[in-house]
Amino acid sequence: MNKITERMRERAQELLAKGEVEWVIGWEKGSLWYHSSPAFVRRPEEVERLIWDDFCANNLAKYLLDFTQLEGKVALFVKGCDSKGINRLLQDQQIEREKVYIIGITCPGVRDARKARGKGPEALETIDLEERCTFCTRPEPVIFDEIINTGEKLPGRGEKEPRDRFTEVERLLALSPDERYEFWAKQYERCLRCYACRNVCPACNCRECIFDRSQSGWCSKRIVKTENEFYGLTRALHVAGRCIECGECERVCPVGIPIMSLHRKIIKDLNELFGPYEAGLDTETPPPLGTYRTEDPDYFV
Amino acid sequence: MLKVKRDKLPQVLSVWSEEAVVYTPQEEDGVSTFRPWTGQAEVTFKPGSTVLPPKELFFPRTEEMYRYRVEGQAAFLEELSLPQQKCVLVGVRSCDARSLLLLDDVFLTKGYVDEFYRRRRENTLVVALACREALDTCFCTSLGVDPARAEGVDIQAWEKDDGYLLQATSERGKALLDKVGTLLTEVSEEPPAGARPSLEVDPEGVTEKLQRMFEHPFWDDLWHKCVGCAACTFLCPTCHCFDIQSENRGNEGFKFRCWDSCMFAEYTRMAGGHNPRPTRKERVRNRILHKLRYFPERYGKLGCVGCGRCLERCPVHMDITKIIQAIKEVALDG
Amino acid sequence: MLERVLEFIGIEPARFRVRWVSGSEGPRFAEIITQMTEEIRALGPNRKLRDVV
Repeated sequence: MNKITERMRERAQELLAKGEVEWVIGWEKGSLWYHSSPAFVRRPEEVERLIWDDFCANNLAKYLLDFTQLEGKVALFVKGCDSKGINRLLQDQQIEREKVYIIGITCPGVRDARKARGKGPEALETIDLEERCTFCTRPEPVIFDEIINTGEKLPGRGEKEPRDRFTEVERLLALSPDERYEFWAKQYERCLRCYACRNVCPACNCRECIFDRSQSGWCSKRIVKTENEFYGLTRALHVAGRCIECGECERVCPVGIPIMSLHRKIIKDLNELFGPYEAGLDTETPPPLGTYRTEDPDYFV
Repeated sequence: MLKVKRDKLPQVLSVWSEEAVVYTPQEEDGVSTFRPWTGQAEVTFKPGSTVLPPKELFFPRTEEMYRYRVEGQAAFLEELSLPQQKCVLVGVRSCDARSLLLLDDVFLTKGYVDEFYRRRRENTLVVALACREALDTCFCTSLGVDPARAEGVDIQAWEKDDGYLLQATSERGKALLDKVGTLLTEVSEEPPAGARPSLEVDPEGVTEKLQRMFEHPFWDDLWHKCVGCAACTFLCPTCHCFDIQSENRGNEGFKFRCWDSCMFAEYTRMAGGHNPRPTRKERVRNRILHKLRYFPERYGKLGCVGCGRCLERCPVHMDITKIIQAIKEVALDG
Repeated sequence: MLERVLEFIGIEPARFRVRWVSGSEGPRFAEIITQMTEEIRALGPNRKLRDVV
């Protein structure tokens, strides 16, 4: 058993046994060696299910929305990127800080489970990290009550420059408008409108999404290219300035739409128009589109 | 047994293309699905099933049903012509072949025949391809599917290193093979055994168990990790729920149907706002019950074919094999 | 932001415009709309993101 797992179980056991929290949210092993899956534990004797391994990619922050009616507290484990999701929910006033017990994990990085398909556990070391980890600047959570830091780091974590994450955006910007249109039309033609991207996103925390009201007249339930694009654009703009770049939307897309390229384009623009800003670092700095400053761009006036 | 050499396969497809659209598994941006073959010289079949199941060719994700327009006090309906296109679907795996039989039960039996589905089904011949290699997430044999021999298809094919063994399994399949007779050779080779998936579960008795479990606390814990998206149902080769809505453009409009999912809140929300499946708990329970209890109760067979798409592409790897196992382990009183 | 995103997905930016016009600035409003209409006419009909019916 690795040190992080050991520590996770120890702390979960204590918190549950003392009745300090009602639930602990962590990860457990799935059927396959490269599948790790969110786990919900509420009895001290169940903590043996909890694990940490190189495939604990899921951001657990969003699950806190399921426990807002709970009287007691919920403990959850967060990686650096996940912790920004907690700040997202706090700043959006979706959860109460005192009802959450945050156990941070200084994240060694996680691997891309899709690249492990068809391989055996002996191939572990050869499996690439999740793309987001290669740009990681914050393996240590930005908000926590306690932290597990074993000093471990997978090779490749944070080795790329943060600005390199815009490489794909820049490639697309260099194309002609028609080529760009074709590119996105082809991507969204595949979209199934399964809403996995929305449902895992900590910034998508509306109590009810307009796309769940298909008879509102604003959007159509037809699963066709243009309606799918309308969905993608609407969501991208709705999380503009609030996206914490956890990359979960793109990771979970069953048909591999490069959703983060859309989100990163917006982040790049926001940085250019409103100055550097990283969503989810704290709960005080207002998001660029959620506040007014006299120096904001106003060319249209 | 008949055999086609690997390099002759495009010629076979070319002959079939004269009278039908030939669909083969093709990959684009890492996502494989059945697409029209347009003369590619390289025809390869990657191990396992396609990311998107072939159900779309019979039951499209969005489909117009009829059009209407209003002129003054008069209303006019415009029927749309039913699908005419002949198709040959090449490279369907045994799990997906089974799924078509299950969809047939839904769309063609019990007193209602879906004309759109029926036309497409009748116009399509299916050439199945045995699995030489299973994916990590395959568990077809647990559902009684034979990876080396598909049910209800027109031709069964087996891949060998130098070509494909072919056997007609229906009259129409025989006619299809006759058309390309000059490209085939008679060989005395035996079809290879199918690949046995490593993932296994025994669903024996799960339906009966579930009949006594609707109110069981088992469901209280199961749903937590589900994020409530429809990746599982939309990728499932047997999920077949749809919604029917209309859209208007001025004085005219159309009715369409599109895929819908029991994982969505809107799916069961009634006029007035009441929702009999208000949380993910009830929705997850419904998905499991539909596959493993309601479907068998209505059609006498399980609604899962063991393709493994849901557990592979689920954002949180909800795993139906684990769920079946867990259901079997639940202790019931009496 | 929307303007930039539309450009990113391949829509010509001239097709979308945001201008602040007060209710008392009738002539300015007419001028902007006339100008934009002319520019869009020059671009021709939009084929992108069209309703697929």
